[in-house]
Amino acid sequence: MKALDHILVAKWARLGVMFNVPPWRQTPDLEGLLIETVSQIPDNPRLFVMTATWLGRYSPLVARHRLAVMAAELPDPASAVLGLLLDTAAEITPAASMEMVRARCRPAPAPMPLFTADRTTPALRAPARSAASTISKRWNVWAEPVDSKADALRPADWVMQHNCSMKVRAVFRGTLRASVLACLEHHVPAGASEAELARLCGVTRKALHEALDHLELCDMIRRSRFGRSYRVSLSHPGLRIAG
Amino acid sequence: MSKHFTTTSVLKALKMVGESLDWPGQVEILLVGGVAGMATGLLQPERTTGDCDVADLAPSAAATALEKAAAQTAERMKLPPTWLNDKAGQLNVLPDGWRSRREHIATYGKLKIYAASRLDLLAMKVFAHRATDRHDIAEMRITPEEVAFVRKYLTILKVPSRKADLDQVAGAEKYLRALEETL
Repeated sequence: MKALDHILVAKWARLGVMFNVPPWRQTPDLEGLLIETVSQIPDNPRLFVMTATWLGRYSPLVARHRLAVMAAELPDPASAVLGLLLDTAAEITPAASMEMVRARCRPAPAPMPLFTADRTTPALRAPARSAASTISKRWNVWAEPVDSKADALRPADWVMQHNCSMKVRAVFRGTLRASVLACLEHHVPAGASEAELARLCGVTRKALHEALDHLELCDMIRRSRFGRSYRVSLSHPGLRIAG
Repeated sequence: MSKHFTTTSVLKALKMVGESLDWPGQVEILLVGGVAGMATGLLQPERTTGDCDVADLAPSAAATALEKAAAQTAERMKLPPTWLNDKAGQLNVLPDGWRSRREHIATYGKLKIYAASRLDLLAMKVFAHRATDRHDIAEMRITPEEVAFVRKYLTILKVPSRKADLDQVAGAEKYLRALEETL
């Protein structure tokens, strides 16, 4: 396993996946972690199974607008891996479907096994293709159906106790407000204009404005006059969606 | 309730089993799967391992005593009642001669714990050939001699008394042939 994988699995351990490593020292940037994960999945089948299982259980914690924007920038075949991951999670739990993100993913340009261990020779590709699930064929990245490993996930109370800010995500259930807070936390900690936030969340200024109105009412963000526009920042340093 | 094992925690649980085992003589168990691979250092320690698979128990008459001790441990360590399971033993997929190759892991009280050898783990992983098994096999870098051993093992699995899933054996043989081309 590569050095990067240790950090990656430690971050998932922090979010409640029972990899046998100490959890990461702080709550990770969830959307960033998902993007990082899809590029590592081909080298680590367990990561695929466990991320799909985690999403099947905890997908309401994902800030969907933010992830959709990040997904649109993924190269091939990582985009297809994310699509397959989301479809697999939705198979485990139909309610985990993230259509908004899925719509930004595209199949791999040419069919190939999902896992590098199966890509070495044409002979190894053949069994991977014959065992591939229907959904994996749709994304052009062959993988067999996944059995959920829910018993290797920590329960919600553990996840919340060890990642207090996830409670805010749980309340907002992946809506635009969750994405706004996540962007302010991870992308633009110094604050951002409404136009910049709208771009990071992939929404119209009007939609963003409504979300900001609500977050301001909740005293989670503040808007201050900045030239002809408003600068948006988190109200309190401690009030972070993922900190 | 969830189950989760590191090498340390599984040995702690097995120690508790050994200490509470109510049996007049020594009892030997053979671990296979992820726990065996982790305990022998053959597999990456970062993997998730939810099961502690026992493929052989001697004497078999000690099964009830072992189950009772495992149940007590499950209660004390908040593990599921099935944390120590013998599903792998029921499958009858151990390669011939495994006993001479097994590795001693620890002895706790009257419980002597062994893990399947590299050769036997490889053989069983080829037979299973799920994505995670294929990944492990790639990491373990199977040798031509080991391929020959596994081929023979898969042939033996076709014997009716083994009651192995013949479609699975055929799939494993196909995979092994493909694997051989990579050597």
